[in-house]
Amino acid sequence: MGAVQLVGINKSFGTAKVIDDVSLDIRDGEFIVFVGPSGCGKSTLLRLISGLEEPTSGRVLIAGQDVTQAAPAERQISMVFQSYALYPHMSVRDNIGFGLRIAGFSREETRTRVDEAARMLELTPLLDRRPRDLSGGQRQRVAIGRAIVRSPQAFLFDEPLSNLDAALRVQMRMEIIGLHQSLGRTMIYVTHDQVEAMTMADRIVVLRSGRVEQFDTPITLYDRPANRFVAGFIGSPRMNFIPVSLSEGELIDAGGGRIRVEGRSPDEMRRATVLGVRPEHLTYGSEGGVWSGRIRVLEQLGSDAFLHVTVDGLEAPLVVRASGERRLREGEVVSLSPRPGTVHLFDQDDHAIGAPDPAFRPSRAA
Amino acid sequence: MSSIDPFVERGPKATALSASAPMRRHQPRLWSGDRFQTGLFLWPTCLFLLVLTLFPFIYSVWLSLHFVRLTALHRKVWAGLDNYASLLTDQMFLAALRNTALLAVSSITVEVVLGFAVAKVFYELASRKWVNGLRSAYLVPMMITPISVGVIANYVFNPQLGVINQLLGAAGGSPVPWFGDPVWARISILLISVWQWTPFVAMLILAGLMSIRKDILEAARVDGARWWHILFRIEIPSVLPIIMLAVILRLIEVLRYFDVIYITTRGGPGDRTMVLTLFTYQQDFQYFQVGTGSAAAVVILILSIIVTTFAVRILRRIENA
Repeated sequence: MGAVQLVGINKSFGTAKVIDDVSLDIRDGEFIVFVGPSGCGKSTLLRLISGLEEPTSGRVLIAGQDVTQAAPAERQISMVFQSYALYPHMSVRDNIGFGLRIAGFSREETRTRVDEAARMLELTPLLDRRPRDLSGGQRQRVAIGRAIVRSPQAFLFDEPLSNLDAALRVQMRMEIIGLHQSLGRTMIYVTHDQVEAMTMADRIVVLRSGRVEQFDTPITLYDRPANRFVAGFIGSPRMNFIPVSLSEGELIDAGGGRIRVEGRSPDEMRRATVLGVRPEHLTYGSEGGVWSGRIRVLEQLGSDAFLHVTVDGLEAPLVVRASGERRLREGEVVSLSPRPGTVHLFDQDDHAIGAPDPAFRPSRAA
Repeated sequence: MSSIDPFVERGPKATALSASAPMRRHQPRLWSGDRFQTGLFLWPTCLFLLVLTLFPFIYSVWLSLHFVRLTALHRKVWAGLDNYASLLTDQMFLAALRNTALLAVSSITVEVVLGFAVAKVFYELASRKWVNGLRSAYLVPMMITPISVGVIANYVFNPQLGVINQLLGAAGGSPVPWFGDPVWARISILLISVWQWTPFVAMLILAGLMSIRKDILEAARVDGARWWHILFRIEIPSVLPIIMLAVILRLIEVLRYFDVIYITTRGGPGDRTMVLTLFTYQQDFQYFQVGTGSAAAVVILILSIIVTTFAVRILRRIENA
């Protein structure tokens, strides 16, 4: 049904290469999130699927059919834009029904479908209003309504929540997840917000400079990032990176800290140039750790406290997530160690070396 | 309690004190006050309006209520509304009214349709650099003084020497007696008006088209819209207020249309291209019938006011949209 395949897609604007040899296999009914920093090509990739952009080379397949040359209208997809893109001169009812009317649906059929979508999205009292009389959240709902009435093969969302305030964003996130569950259609969602990516996606595509860095489930991205970029991009606060070298079977950092890494082959240890450990995988105490340093900044969130600890010899401060911590103050000295089986290793090309925990098994092959 | 808190005791007293204190108002000096400055800036405009707009207007209304000749302005006989009544039976005036309306409807219709087409072409080509120069060049007819347009038209439409008849002849057609023929004279005036004013309408519509957001057009394309859906359901409805504005601005202009007709057809043949302004001019300065001429001028003014009122309303609506 709504499977989407990208085969060797390239896209250049003039001399600038925006998408670089991207191939993806998206299964019917999956919720896929494209995530990456600004300018990574995630929106362009979505527009290539929608047909609003044509690839320089490569093929786009929707439901098994090659639609590379097909107009957006022929692809049976719906798209929700960041700016909502509602037709300003039409009522909410006409906005939602626009696609149906031009597809030749009768007035009655259109009305029934629009009413149904409006009920689902709680838009019924607003049907006769103009977009300019609606709030941001209501406009977003209308845009979603316009997408669902046409019952397309796949839904495309281009940063749909980034114009909403924080509270509304959380609420709409839940509604879109609910919508995916009730409709069961393929959804492809672009965002730069990793929280949206982690909470919504079945699988996440992490993009950088037009290339796919990793395509996997949220948990795999977190537990087993393929490279240093993904490791740093997924997780907040970001992973600590420490340059290391091998000496007498142990990794040593620039400050002289000796880190024992278990379950790695001698070859893997030899290739490692950078060690990564997430803030939540650092334990802290008063003495006896691998690193010792002074707390320079303490960000207290109530549930967690983030300690930024300066360690002699290390360039960047180490960040520690201290759950429910109340006693520590800025300026105090703490001692830090990684939890066993949580250390990531990266080679000189920033590729991940093996898995942090040998017992770890990826949930699904990419 | 209240004795402990000093503010409770002193509060009301303090208020009373400040209220009873005399307010020392600064007396503005005549030469430095805001009022004077405002006046200083306003009086030239007021004087200008008074001498050049308000006085002539009141004077012409006054004249329109009298039987009076240009050669003997001091000898006025009160006429009441007789001048207006005689206008309604004056065949030439009625012809002028009809012709003005005909010119308005025909030229504005052609200008809007043609203007939209031209605007659409410029819009589709907007990404190309050379189009900018072309767009500016296209505005030239609008910038030429109307008198010059008339003179140019005289040459272009000249039955013997004119370029159009030359071209017609070269293409194997027979020459057309442009200004001399009752039907062709009207068509000539229409053509000149369209040539001169379509760029203006086109540029307004182009601005309207450019202001349609790209994402809305993209949303329509994803929604399954073909070019004709986008044209009739998105683009035209979006620029409709701008088209209304263009129509009204053009209506005002047609009501004032004088120079070109004065230079080319002089209202002829017969009364076929007579328009309101030319009628007024002839009454005032050819037949010296200042009373009748003024009445006609007042009629033009009233029509303009009606049109302008609509224009302001539409402008407001565009602002609010």
